[in-house]
Amino acid sequence: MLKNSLLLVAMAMTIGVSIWGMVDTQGLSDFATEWVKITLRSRGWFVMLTVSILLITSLILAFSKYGHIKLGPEDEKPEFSTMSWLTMMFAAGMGVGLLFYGAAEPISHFLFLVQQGPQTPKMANEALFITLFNWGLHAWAIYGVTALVIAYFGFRKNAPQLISGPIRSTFGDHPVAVGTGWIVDLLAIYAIAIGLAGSLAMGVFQVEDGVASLFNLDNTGMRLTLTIFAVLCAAYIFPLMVDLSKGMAVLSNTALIIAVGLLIYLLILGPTSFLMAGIVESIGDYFFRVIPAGFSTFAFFDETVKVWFESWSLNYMVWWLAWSPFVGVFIARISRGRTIRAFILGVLLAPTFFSIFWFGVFGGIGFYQGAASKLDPAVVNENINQTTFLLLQNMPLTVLTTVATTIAAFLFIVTSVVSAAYVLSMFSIGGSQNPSVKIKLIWGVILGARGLVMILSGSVGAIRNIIAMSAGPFVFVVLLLLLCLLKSLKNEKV
Amino acid sequence: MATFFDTLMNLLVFSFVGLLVWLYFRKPASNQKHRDDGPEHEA
Repeated sequence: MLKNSLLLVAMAMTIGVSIWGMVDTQGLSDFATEWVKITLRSRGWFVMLTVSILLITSLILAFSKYGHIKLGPEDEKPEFSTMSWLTMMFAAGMGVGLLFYGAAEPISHFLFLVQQGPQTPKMANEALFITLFNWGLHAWAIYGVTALVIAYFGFRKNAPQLISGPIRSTFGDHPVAVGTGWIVDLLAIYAIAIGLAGSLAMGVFQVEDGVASLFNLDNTGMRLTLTIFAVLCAAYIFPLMVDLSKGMAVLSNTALIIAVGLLIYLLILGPTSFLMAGIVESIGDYFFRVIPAGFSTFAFFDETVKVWFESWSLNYMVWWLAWSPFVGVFIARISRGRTIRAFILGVLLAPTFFSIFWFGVFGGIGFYQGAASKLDPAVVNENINQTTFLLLQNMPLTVLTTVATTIAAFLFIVTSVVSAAYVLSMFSIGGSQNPSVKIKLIWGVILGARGLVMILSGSVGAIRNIIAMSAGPFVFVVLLLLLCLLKSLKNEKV
Repeated sequence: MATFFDTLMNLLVFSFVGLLVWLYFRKPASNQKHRDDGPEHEA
């Protein structure tokens, strides 16, 4: 282990930032906020251009002559059924964020739009559209391209399933390619560690508010937060010590089944026709406007709009980029035997349609309850974590749905941390599929420490900025990976 | 200062895009050893 320079440098970087965060939480948070502000302002246009290029290129590839190419030997059949494949992919890619932002994000955008001018009914459509833009095709194009490149080179060219694999496979053993590969793997490890820790912190906030809502606790302070964090750490350490791959899949599927159950419950017991009407409007609105919206940079708007755009859409795109090595490697591993066309269409369309339903139901109920004065929309500004639970309080069986949401959030986080510790360990020992328990435990502890730093920052905004700061270079890495794929496809005989 | 940083960041982006274009059209050197030269087999 001590001879593995990549592992040592990656650990030193993540531990270093963790210590900084623990010693001077506010300092790290302020630095991240300032850094993200400067970088997103100066090359935000490049991030938006890149994610649009990724989406358009994916669609072109799916319908091109290369669409028939199989990710693996030509006679290979897919390892998982299509339904299992889509379920696992979605649970890995979105997870706890859906529970967190389901109602809060559309309401946040709606409030912002109302502040910008006189309120009109169209603002609710616009708020849903912006939310879907942040969670839809562009997000999945980032994951999809990363996963496609890793799967293509892994299963057809026998490259190691590392972010550097395609680069080394395309450019050979030239020292520049070797050096670039090393740096890219390092950045991937770092981005995964930060992204996951942020998600862990958000999950803890979500579970905390669920518990507070259940027991009517007010002003619980850090004591409850840290208790939940400790329980979470205890829950993920055990699976890291034993091989529970099938058990983890069961936990992940359970979380998703609870989430889908919640969605159906709200759709049936909520204002069904109102929600369905909103969802149908969203489908049309989204698919007609999504490609041009990818090129929106709000260049000629005032500072308020620019800051809002940078802290939501741009921040989301950078966030998906931070998660792309982790989710990309995971999706690649479960996609062996699928054609490029089936892969791209599955990765892009299935999660996007699910998101349209998810936000249509949660956001729609948020708007409905807001209009009926049952839910104060200002809650998203006061305590965004509570939005989902306040919404559930206005529905029947509140205790049951609150418990279910809390359990789902908890399970999403446990499975994410275990999977991330596995991927980080795999990356740091050169792509081996069987990392030792010792390395997995070390990464588990580091992820916990990073999560604690994020929790201590106490603010979802600060967490998002710390993630965005760490993921900055990934916009370049994903483009480099796409280049490797396009270069290699030129040599395919189709 | 912000303008200087802004320009520097964008120069970095332009250089990167230029590098990508060059890499896409660049032919591999005759002595370049590719990892995928071997036959396909199970990963």
